[in-house]
Amino acid sequence: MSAASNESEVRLVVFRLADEDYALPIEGVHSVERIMPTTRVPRAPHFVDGVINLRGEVVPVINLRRRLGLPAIENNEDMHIVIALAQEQLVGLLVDEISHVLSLPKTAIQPAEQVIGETNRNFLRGVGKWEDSLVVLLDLERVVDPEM
Amino acid sequence: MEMSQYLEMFMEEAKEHIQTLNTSLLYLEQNPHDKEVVGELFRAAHTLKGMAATMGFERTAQLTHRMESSLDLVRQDKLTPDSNFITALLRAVDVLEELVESAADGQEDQSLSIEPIMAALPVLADATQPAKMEVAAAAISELDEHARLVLDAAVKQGMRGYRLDVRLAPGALLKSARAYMVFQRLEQHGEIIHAEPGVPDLEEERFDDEFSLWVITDSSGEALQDEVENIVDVREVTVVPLAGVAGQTTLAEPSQELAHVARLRTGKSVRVDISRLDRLMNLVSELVITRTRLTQISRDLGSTVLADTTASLNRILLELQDEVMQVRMVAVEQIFNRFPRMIRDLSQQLGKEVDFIISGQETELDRTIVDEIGEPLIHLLRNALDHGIEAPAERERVGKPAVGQLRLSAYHRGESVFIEVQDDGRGIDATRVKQKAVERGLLTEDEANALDDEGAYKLLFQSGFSTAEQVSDVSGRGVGLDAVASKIASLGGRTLIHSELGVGTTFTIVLPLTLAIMATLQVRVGDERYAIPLSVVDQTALLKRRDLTIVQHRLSMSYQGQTIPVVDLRQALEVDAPNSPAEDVYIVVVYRGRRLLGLMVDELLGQEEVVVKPLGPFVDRCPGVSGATILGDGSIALILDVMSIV
Repeated sequence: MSAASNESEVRLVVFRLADEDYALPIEGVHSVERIMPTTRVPRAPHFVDGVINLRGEVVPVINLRRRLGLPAIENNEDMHIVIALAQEQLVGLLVDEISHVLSLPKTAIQPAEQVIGETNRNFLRGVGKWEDSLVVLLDLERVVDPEM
Repeated sequence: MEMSQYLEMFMEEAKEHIQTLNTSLLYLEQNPHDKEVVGELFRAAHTLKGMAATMGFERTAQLTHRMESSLDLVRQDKLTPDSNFITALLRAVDVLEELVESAADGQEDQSLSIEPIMAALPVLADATQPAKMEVAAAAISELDEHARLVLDAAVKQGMRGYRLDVRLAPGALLKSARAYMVFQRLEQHGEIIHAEPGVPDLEEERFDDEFSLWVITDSSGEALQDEVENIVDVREVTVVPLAGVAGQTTLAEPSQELAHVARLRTGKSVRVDISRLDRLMNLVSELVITRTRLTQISRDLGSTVLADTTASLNRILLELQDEVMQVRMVAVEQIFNRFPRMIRDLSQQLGKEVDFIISGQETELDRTIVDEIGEPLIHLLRNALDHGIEAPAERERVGKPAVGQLRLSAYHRGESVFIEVQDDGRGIDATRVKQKAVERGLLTEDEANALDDEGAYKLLFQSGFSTAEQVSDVSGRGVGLDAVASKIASLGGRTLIHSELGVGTTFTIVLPLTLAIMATLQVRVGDERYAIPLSVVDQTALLKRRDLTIVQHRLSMSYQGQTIPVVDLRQALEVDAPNSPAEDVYIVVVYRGRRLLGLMVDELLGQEEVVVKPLGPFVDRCPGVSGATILGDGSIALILDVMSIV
C-alpha cells in the first residue's frame, strides 16, 4: 500500500454502526482504542457515555449511535472507541466495530441527500461508493460540536 | 551578551522605575513637602533617561529628561507640586509606559506624540532646549551613577565590590571570546555592574590587551582572581577592592527600593519563561499520579521493601511539589500596584474623596491565579467607589468624615488566600435589592419577603443585576457582579458579601493557593467515587437517618445550633443505585458561599491530593462537577462543584 496521499483521493477510517458502514477522514482520527471503562458524568447530554482515561488525559466519549439517532445497544467486546481530534480537543466516538482504512477517489463521494435511513442528516457529509457497497461519510466538526 | 538580553533587562527595569514614578507621584500629592520622595522621583526619571539613551530610545530619553527638569524645580523649591502638576506628570508617566511597551521589539513607537505632554510640564525657560546632546553625554555618567547606587546598596548588605583589571597576552587571538569567558566565570560569583571599555567594544574586540570589570559578589577577591587567572591567554589579573569607592558616593542613603533592586541583581536569580514552569508543573503532576499508582501497587503486593521505598519517594515528591509551587508563586503586589493610580483617577472623575489603603500585598498566590484576579478586583474597587462610597457632601450630612475609606487587603488562612475589598460607604440596602428583583421578575413578592439579607446580597451575583441609580461610566454597562463571581468560581474560589446599611460593604474573595493540585476528600455515592475540594469542607459527620428532618419540604439537619439544608448526592447526581437501607449516613458539611450545606454520601474514602484535569467538550459545563482526576488505579473520579450542585 502506498503511503503517499493522492490529491484526488480521500483516506477514510471505516467502522460499523447498526450494520452500516460509516467513515471519518483519517486526518481527524487520533487513534482507535478498545472499549474501556467509562466514568459517567452527571447531567451530561444523553449521547455522552462519560469520560475515559486515555493515557492520562480525561476524554469524553460520545455514543455515536445515540448521537446519530440510531437505536442504542448493550456494550460488547467488539466495540471500539475512535478518538477524534477536532479543534485541538480529543473526543471519543463509540462505534460497533472497526473495519478498515479505505482510499476513495473524491469523485466517488456524493452529496448526502441520497442517503436513505434514519440517520440524523445534520451530521453527514456525503456518501462514498466503494465496490458494491456504500459508506456514509460523517461530518466530524459537526459530530463533535456541542452546539449541534 | 547580546542586545536582546539587554532589551529584556531594560524592559523589566524600566517597568520598575515607572511603577516607582507612579507610586511616588501619588505619595507626593499627599505629601507635597516631602523632599525625599522628590529625590526618589528625580532619580527614577534620571535613571530611566540614562537607560533609554544607552538603548537608543530617544523619545523615552527626551520625555524623561523633561520630567527630570520639572522635578528639579520642585527640588529647588521653585515650584510647589499641586494637583495639576501631579496630573501632568502622571500623564507623562502613562505615555512613558506606552513608549517603553512599544519598545519591546527593540524599536520605540515613533508615532506616539510626546510633544503635548512635554509642553504641559513646567520647566525653567532656559531648560527647554532639546535634550538630545545632553542625553548622549549623560549616558555614560548615568550608568556610572546607577552602578554606584547598586554597589552602594550591595555593600550595605554585606557584599563586596571589586574592580578586576585583566590583561591578556599580547597578540592573543579571540580576544572577545576570552573576555566572554571572563564574564562567564565572574557571573558565577556575582554581578558585573560595569565594564570598561563597554560591553559592545569588548564584543567587537575594540580594545587593546586590557579591560576592567566592576563586580559585586559574596566571594573573596582571591576567589575571583583564581577563577579568572587560569583562563587561557589571561596574562595578569589585578583585584582592587571597591569598599572605599562605595563610601565616597555623595548620594544620600539608598532608598529601600534601591536596596531591593540590588538584592534582585545579586541574588543569582534567573528569569524563566512561564511556559517552562507550566511544563515543570505538569511533569510534577504526572509524577503525583504515578506515585499514587505505585502506592496502590505496593499496598496490593504487601511488600515492606517496596512500601519503604514508596514512602521515601513520597517524601521527596512532596518536597519537589512544594518547590515547584513556590517557584510559581508571585506576590499579589504586582496586581495591587496598579490600583492606587486607578483609584485616584476614578475618585477625581466621580467627585469623591477617598483614602485608599492597601495591606498584605506581599501575600503570594499561584501565578496563573494572580494573572486572572486583576479584572474582578478592578470591578469590585470601581463598584465600591461608584456605588459604595458617598459623595463628600452626603457623607458629612450623615455624620461621616468627608473622606471615605477604601481598603484592599490580602492574607493567608490555611490553604486559602483571602482578598478583601472593604468600603465605609452606604452599604447595600437589602430591601431595595429585593424590590428590584421583584420588579425584574427574578423573584415573586412572597419569595422576596422570605429572603433574608444574605440571600438578598446574593441576588447581586445574578446576571445583569445592578442597583446603581444611573448607569455610570465607571461601573460599566452589563458587566455586573455576576461576572466577578463566575470568574472567581472558575478559579476554584468563592466570593462573599458582607454589608451593613450606612456603615459599609466588604467583598471577600477566597482563593486556593494553586489550581493544578488540589487537596480533596474522596467519597462514595452509590458505586461512584467523587472528590470534594477540601477547601470547601467544614466537617464530616456520621448521623442516623432519623436525625435528618424535613423543613419546608427540604431535607435538613441541625448543625452547630443551626438548621442547614442537606442534599442527597445520589439524587443530585442522578446516581443509579437502589435506595440505601443503611441507617447510618455520612454527611460532609461544606461551605457554599457563606452558607453551610450538608452533602449526604454513602462512605468517606479519605483525603487525597489530586491533579485536576479538565473534563473536555460536552461535559465541561455539566452542573455539579468542575473537573476530573485520575486515581492510582487508573480510574477517574469527578471533582464536585459545590456552587452548582443543586
